[in-house]
Amino acid sequence: MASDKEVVLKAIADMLENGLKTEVEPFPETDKEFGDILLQLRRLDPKDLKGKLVVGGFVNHPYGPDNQRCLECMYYLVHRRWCDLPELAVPVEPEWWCRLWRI
Amino acid sequence: MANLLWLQGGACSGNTMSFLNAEEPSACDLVTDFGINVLWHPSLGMELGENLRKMLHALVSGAMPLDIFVFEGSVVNAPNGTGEWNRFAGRPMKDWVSDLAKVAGYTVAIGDCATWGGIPATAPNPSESEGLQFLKRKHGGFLGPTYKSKAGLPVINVPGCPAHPDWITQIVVAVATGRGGDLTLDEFQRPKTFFTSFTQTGCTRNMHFAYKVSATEYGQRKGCLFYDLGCRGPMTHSPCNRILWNRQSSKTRAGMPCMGCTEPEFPFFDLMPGTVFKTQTMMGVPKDMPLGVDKAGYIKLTAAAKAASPAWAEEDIFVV
Amino acid sequence: MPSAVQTLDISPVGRVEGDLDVRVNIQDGVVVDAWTQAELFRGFEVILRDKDPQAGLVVTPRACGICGASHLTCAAWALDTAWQTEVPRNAILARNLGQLVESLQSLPRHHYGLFMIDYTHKNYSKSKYYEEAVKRWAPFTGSNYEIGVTISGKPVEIYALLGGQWPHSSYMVPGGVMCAPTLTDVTRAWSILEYFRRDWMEKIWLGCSLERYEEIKSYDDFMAWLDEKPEHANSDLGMFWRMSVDCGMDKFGKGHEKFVSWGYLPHEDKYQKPTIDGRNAALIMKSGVYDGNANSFKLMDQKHTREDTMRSWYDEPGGVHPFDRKTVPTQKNTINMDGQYSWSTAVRHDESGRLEAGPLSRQLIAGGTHGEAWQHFDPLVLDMYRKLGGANVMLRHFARMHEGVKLYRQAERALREFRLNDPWYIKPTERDGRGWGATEAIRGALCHWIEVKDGKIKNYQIIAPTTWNVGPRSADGVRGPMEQALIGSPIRDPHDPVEVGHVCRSYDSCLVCTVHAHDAKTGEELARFRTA
Repeated sequence: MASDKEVVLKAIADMLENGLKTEVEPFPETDKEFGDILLQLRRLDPKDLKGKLVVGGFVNHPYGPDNQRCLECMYYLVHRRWCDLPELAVPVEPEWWCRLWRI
Repeated sequence: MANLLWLQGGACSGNTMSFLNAEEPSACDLVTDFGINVLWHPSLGMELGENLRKMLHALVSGAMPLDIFVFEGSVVNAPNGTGEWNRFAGRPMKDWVSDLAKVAGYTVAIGDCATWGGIPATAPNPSESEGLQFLKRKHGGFLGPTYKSKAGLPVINVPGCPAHPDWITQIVVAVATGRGGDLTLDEFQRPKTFFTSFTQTGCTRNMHFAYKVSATEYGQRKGCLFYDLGCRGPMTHSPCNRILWNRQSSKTRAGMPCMGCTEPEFPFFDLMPGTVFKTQTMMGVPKDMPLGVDKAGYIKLTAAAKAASPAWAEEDIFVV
Repeated sequence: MPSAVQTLDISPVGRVEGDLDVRVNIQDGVVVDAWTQAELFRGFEVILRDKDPQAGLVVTPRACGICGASHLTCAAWALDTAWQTEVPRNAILARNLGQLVESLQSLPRHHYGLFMIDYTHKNYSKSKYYEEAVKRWAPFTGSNYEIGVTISGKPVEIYALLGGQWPHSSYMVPGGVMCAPTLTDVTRAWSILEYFRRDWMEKIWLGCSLERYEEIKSYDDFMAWLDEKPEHANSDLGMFWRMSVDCGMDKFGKGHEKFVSWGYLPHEDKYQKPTIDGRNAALIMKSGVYDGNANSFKLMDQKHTREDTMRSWYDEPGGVHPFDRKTVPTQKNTINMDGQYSWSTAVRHDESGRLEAGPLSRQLIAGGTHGEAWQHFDPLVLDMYRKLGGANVMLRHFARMHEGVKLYRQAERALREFRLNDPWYIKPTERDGRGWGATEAIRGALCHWIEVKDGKIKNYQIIAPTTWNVGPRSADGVRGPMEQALIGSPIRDPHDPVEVGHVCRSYDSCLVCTVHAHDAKTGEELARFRTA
């Protein structure tokens, strides 16, 4: 399992490194907008890694004036280096960010 | 011996049902051990027949002392302030309440409907309901802001939907044993002894709150319900996790988010679309912070907590 | 006594959400006509309009503090069918268990707190059982009153393990339940059930083991059981039966003799993809309509439901299905017995007419051979119904209490079937649509209809057992079930008509009832008193 996770993490890192265009904007300002993004994610095949990154608006660096990053996000599990938002459920690095970030 | 009369207005009987779950003292103990003389209760005891009306008139005229007047349910004013949508023994219930509150030694509002209006007063409030001395946060209610019972206290508000049986029985015992004078009330006239600590005080999910691990959906065996599922435990005053429910548990322990039902605004946001069991956020930050915490502090705390979070905090803690 | 017709207004006839006023006309000491009026309107359907689709999970348990788990069950299944969710088997079991323990709670609480009190009324002081009745059942001080009322709080401790508290949790949600019980929750729940069985069901209520009681399959079996041992005859069940017969409680309260049940307890393997149409075939306790006169059984379907409003305080067309209701309350709710006189609508089946809901209905329908072969079958109460010549006050209450052992067994079964490492919740996708959720609250058929449009509630409608039972006359002039059941009741003392209360209480209506008695010829008011 751990090795699977490493493989997936590497695949995500590569996609982001290679300039995958993701929907960073608009940031969901309200719960309604947040919920709409979740709905889009739920329509994806759970194995559609690229789709999740695009809809989630992933970047491989801190984001915004406050330097928001996965590390502080509510869904980030520090020790597992894992995004625990059920609609994403992917391995992530602490210095990344996506537009579903919340604390 | 203290005479107690319990009436229901726009009520579901939930507080009565909760009261009947009581132990130490049980409902029967109140009568047999503490000398509470239950003059009448809509669901308990003998029918009184025509004597009910005679008794009500004797209480109103002062011929019979009314030591404790308990009211459950909202005061229904519809239609157009007449109260005809809730009639009792031949007249609007609100007229009985008005007359009885004048002669009561202590007036006790049990549950959210009687304290703040509760569910029936949710927009558009079709029954024109209000609480005895509040409508939501607004002081006044049916009896007006200056009302005091004969003992010199305003309405004693025991909120909750329903109120916990111990909150009810302990207040009744306090009054019946001559300790009514020791009751201190907060700004919403709730007994401080119950409503100063938070619902979160004693919650078994507190460690997940501290290390910022969220229960991201229902049916999980870890995580705090505040971050995603709309739990109001950190902002709500109640002893739900100090004095357990049905002697066993509490909503937050079982996995259900606190809905803040001891606060005047319940149900929060009038249940508008998108507000039920969802934490309300703005730009990724909760709109309602734990009481007394500001946004900057919250952000700092999050960073520190995440950085310090131990590995076990990410695992199921309520394991099979 | 001259053959005058007298009218009696009874107000308020007890208990729960608001008040029920009952007016009866009496002639020669017998009730010849009756009207039941619900006297409280809170407007839950109005409040729910335009709200969050899940608002019903919060609001409807608060419609009735006694049947909150049943309302929650309906609210959750209504959303499940509207949102086309998948519900894991653990969640179906956890919902069933919550409802079962709420009903178990209600057995001793209603029996001692509300029903048996009547038997200590001076009206029955000549009965040879009276002295013992007072000793056991006098309010607050009776030996078994105190035991029964106190132990009634035990079963709902299991509800607290699942939902945090009883009453008024909202732990059932579309897609499953909020909780994920652990081994200790299950073992604790077992222990609570055992305590309830040993300390009340067997020791005080039955005077025998559950297993012995379960052998009773017919009226003759029951009578043989009663005579078998003094422990049986002197149990609270034995005493209830013997004193009921002694006081004539088996002689009145007949009603329309037509009965309805939505059925309840969906099987955990058969309703994981819930639909409105698929429900009947998925239920452990089957649905049905039983016509006692024709002796015919059929399944019940929600599409037959109609609500008449001609005699109710609503300004909207009647005779419609609940999906087409508007819930427009009349502003000036003047009482007119020839016109509008109640906040309750008159519910009917579009083919079978007015139907009685409640435990008696469930137990009669349990004796039918309609439905699926695997579904629950129990012939006892149907046999009693036939041997006793139809419904009456005693049989209605017996049916309520008889269900207890079966509820207990189903609760045990739910605890056995939980698979602790399987899911309790499958997150659904919110969508627009129409849904329907139904169950049997302890006091009868309960269901909710919901229409979700543009992400909010467009229409929410509730029909409670009390709506079926205390409804006023329908558009065709047919009396409501309780109105009908009052006809023929003997009234020993028109100034203290306790018998009217017995009939009302045998229906266990949700309302605090008030009775008004009038001389039907002169219109003179004879008595007004409250009962429950």
